[in-house]
This record gives sequence, structure tokens and C-alpha cells, in this order.
Amino acid sequence: MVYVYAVSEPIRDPLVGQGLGGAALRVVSSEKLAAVASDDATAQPRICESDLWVHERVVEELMLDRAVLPMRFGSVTRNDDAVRRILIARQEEFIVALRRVRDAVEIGVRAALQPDATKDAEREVAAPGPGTAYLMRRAGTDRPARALVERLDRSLTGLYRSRVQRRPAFPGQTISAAYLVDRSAVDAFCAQVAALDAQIEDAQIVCTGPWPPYSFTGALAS
Amino acid sequence: MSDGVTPVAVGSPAPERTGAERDVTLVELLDRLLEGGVVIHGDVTLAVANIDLVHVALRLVAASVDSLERDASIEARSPPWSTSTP
Repeated sequence: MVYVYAVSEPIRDPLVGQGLGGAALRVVSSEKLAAVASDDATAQPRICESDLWVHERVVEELMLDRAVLPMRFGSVTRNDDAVRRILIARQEEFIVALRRVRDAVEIGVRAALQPDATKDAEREVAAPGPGTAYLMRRAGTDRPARALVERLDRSLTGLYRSRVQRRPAFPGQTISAAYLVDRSAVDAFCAQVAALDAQIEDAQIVCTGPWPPYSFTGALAS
Repeated sequence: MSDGVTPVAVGSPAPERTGAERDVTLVELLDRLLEGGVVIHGDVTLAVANIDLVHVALRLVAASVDSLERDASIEARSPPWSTSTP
């Protein structure tokens, strides 16, 4: 089996480094694209913390020198031909996505609203029961979450290319957003988020990353 | 090409990072690697429901380094991974 880490533009030089299970990284090429892969003995990669980090580090290393589209963890095919067929079949999609993410990184922005602020907003929204309120928070559809995302977007205008709102990963976390930010704008972006955090008393807002552009490969990008 | 941006939350799970920071980073990593990225098997749901993500993270963090091998594979919650060639 072949484990695939990322798609990029053609790679000329041989890769150094290892991926899962210590297998050597190598390039599978089509005419216009490349995939970075390694041989994988198992067809069912286990979700274990160390392997997640191996996948992540491979992608981060590749990103130092080129635009990459990170694969979802566990992307396994039968052989190199299968990889090549994917590169050819989805060529335009990948080329467009690579153009979208070139010279940019993903910055996560997480925010938690203080309980008081959340309660006030819930009263405005016809007093949902606790279960409904929890689901609304999870769906990001409650008003304080929407208002905060809108305020974030306004405050960060010009500092990001694209924004995706992710489902909050923590219970109690109000919003989780991913922004695609030019490498050259990362410092200004994070400084602006810090300023907003200081301005809004009821919210705690933090940046995470930079990450490879997992949220902007096409499936989720706005 | 790198402009010297230093990763904040990525990198190996350093032991000196606090437990809370490490938990948060792990959940962020899971969220991206399991629900983001290019998908090459459209018929396989690799995404774990959010509530499961938290459980996965808690299981991974609670497991000591010694027992990671034993506890880390996620079994019942996700559909089996497809191994067929697209």
C-alpha cells in the first residue's frame, strides 16, 4: 500500500526524510503535479498520536519550499499508479487549490465567550433549553458566535485571503475558525487578533498555528 | 523561502508543554488531519464526529507513552477504512 501525505507542483529533487513507520519518502509524478508518498505495510493506518505528528511533520517540511495540499490522515492507495491516476483525474482541482494556498498558511482562531455573555444572548434567542443551546453552540449558529465571527472578519479585513468556520472542537468553545493568511501577513494578523482579544472583555480569543492549509484544500474552503 | 515564521502550536508533543496546551494542540491536530485535507476516498467517512474527537483526544492524552500502542487505535466509532483503489 502507498500512503500519501500531500500534493504539490512537480518536485525535481529527490526527497530526504521518512514518513510513517520509518519508510522513505518519495515522489509520484504526473505531468503537472506531484504527490509525496511512502510505502505502508498496513492498509488501515491507526489513529495514534505519534503517527499524526509524523504525517504533520512531513507536510510541514514540504511546505518550507513549496505550496502543498495536505492529504487527510490515512490516505492510502494500492500503488503508485493509483496515485498517478488521482493526480491526472483531479488535475485542475489541485492546480486551482495550489494557487489558492501558495505562500499562505492556515491560522486557527479559537474563541470562548464568558458564560454571562452567552446567557444574555441566549435570552435574546427565545430561551432555548440547555440541550438546544449546546447544539446551537456546536453548530456555530447562536448569535454571539455569529456576531463574534463577523467582528473578527471585519477586524481582520485585508489580512486574510479566506476564512472557514469550523465546528468548535471543545464543548464550551464558542467558535473555531481557520483563516488563510499570507506568510508575510501572519504577524500583523496575530497582532490584530490579540488586539481584539484585549478589546472584547467577554471573550478569550487565541491564534493557533501556523498550520498547513488543511481547511483550504477545496472541500471546506469558502 | 521561509520568512522565519515560527510554528506556535505544531511540532512534536514536547514534554515540557503543559498538559492543557498539549491537549488543545492535539485536538486541533485531530480536527485538521481527520476532517480537513484532500480526500481521495470519497466513500469513506474519515471524519470523526466532534464529540468523538474530544473522546479521541482524551483517550490519547490519558494514555501514557507506554500504553499508546495498546490504546491508540480507534475502533468502534468510525467506519472501517476503505482500502480499495479509487
